[in-house]
Amino acid sequence: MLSRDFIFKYRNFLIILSFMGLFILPIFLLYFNERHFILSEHLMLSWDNKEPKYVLKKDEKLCQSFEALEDNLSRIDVMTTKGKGPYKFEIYDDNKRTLIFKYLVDKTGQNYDFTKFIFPKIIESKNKIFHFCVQNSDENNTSLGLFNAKEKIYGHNIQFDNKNVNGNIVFQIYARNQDLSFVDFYRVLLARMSQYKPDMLKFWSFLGIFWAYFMAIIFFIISNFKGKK
Amino acid sequence: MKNFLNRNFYLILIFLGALTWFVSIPIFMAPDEQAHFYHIQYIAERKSLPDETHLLPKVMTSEYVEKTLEVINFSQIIHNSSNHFEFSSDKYGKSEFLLRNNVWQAKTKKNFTYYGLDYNDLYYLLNAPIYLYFKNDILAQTYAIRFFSILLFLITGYICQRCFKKYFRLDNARSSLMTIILCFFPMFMFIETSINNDVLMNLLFALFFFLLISYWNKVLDKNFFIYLLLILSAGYLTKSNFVFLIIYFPIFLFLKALKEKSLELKSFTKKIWILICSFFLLSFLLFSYIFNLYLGNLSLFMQKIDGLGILNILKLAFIERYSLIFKSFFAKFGWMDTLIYEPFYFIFLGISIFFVAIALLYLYKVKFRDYFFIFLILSILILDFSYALIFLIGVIKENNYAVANQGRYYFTVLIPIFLMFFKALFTFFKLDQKKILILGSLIMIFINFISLILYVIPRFYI
Repeated sequence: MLSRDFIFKYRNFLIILSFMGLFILPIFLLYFNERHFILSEHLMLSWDNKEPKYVLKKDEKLCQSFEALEDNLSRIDVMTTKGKGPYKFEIYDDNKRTLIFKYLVDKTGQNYDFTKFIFPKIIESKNKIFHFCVQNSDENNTSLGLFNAKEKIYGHNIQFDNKNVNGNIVFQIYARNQDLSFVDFYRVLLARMSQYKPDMLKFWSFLGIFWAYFMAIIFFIISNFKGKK
Repeated sequence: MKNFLNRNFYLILIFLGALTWFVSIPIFMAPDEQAHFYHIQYIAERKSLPDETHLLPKVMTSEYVEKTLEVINFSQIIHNSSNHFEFSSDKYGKSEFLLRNNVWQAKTKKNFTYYGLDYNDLYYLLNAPIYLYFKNDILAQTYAIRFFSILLFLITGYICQRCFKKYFRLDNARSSLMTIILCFFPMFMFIETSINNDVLMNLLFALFFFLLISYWNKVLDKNFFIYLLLILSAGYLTKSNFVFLIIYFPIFLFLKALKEKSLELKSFTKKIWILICSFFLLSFLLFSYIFNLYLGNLSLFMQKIDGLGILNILKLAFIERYSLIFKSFFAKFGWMDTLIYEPFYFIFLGISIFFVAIALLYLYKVKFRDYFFIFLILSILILDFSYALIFLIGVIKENNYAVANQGRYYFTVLIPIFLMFFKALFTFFKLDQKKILILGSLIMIFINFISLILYVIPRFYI
């Protein structure tokens, strides 16, 4: 156990170490938060009207079917109006035979924001048909608006108010790659961050800038704390 | 050399911090960056300045920029934090070769129009040689122009340090620490490392405040007016918000006269009344200018205002507008689509309330006799009321909430805000100043660092 004398004697060293640790922490936090990269399947569909076409009152449900283009399907973003929630999200396999995953979303963001529904990745999802449903369970009787898409790339696939409706709501589907090791995660991240940059800002120079910045912060911490009584 | 490095280490730290933002923000992913780029392109290619006929209503650019925006999926990425560029596993992005080997004409269209009613040309003119030097390489052009912004940012940082040093009569170390706190303000650093004429305007405002601080206790001489004229001229050539400098100057003169007691106003109430009257007179002049610039049909506007009621107008101008401005003043990155963790904003709100409270307490404590402090407050209030008016005109006239609603427009008065904050803080809290400043710098660098690592980088790359 650290004695009080030890802490007093090495207090500057400990302060420096704590600050350095604090600055290293976000690098680990980023890894533990993400660990994988999103591979976009379909980017945003454009909506046909500023007003939501489908307004879900309390307990009403809307389902949309789609075909996944990649394995490891893991996220669906649905454009919604602002709401307090909760909203029930469910994803089924073809013909709604099996419920794969369900959970409650607390609230949605601003109008025209995508509400993210993230679920454990479905490993073999490529070329398979899935259905997802959004149900408004808002206890305050606030309705939730969903927007109609201009494109009909997923076919005639909406079920709303016990009817099949011709069209799509505005949503995006995402697959993600495998969870990566710490080193691989940062290798891929650095590669991505090097892309769409001039040659002189690729990889090593990129890494160099962050390294120099980090050294400067450490120097700043040491020079301000060392030898102070 | 060692002394020079020690004395200017804060600039090295700011430079490296700015570089991390510079390389992390993808091309055209800072607000209006592509529009500022068009302006530079126009001047560089045509060797002439765009005139009024090139303004609104429609944005027509060049194939060079339009195709670039298509390749990077610009319209799908901005305002939608779910989307990002098409990446590959290589060091070149999937569509990057299209940008590198572009066969598109780097020529602005004949019917080039350009949005940005108040964008004057100085910043763009300074960047035109950079555009020409990196001919036909839009990636190099963009990043080289951003690098120029960083150089301007460093000059702004240096001027800030001089302001703190002069105003508080501090040593290099303390004033440098204050500068670090200001420059690492995350949103400020983000804007200062992008292509934006605000970068030059912020520098000119910093110079203006430095000039006023330098002459607060001195007789105004010929040099003062020469410097002032130079700053105003450069401001006029940069952006229309230079008009605030013209409004600030007579207020400064008036308060300086009060301080030096060259105005024979014995009663305190009289002074306050004169101050309030001058404030309203100058505000009237400024507001007339704004009305002329933005309003158009006055009678129609008045009819709409009548229908709204004064309470609703005040609610719109202050509560609703502040709710829009608040996040973008502290941290709302990219195209205002990248927010940080919600509780951080409550911390910022707490700091803001604390700041207003101690500033008012300070004024009360000195019995409104710190005239330079009053000048700083007025400089912020005038700016704020003007933006409130522009916002109101936008909302009432066109139901447009997107005018004058961004926190970055307040960066011109970031020096007054920080001067006031430190002044009030160290008047009430006699803590070890240097320790507090070191801690403050580390906290600000840390907030800046986590904004970048935990929010900006995942938004664009993961």
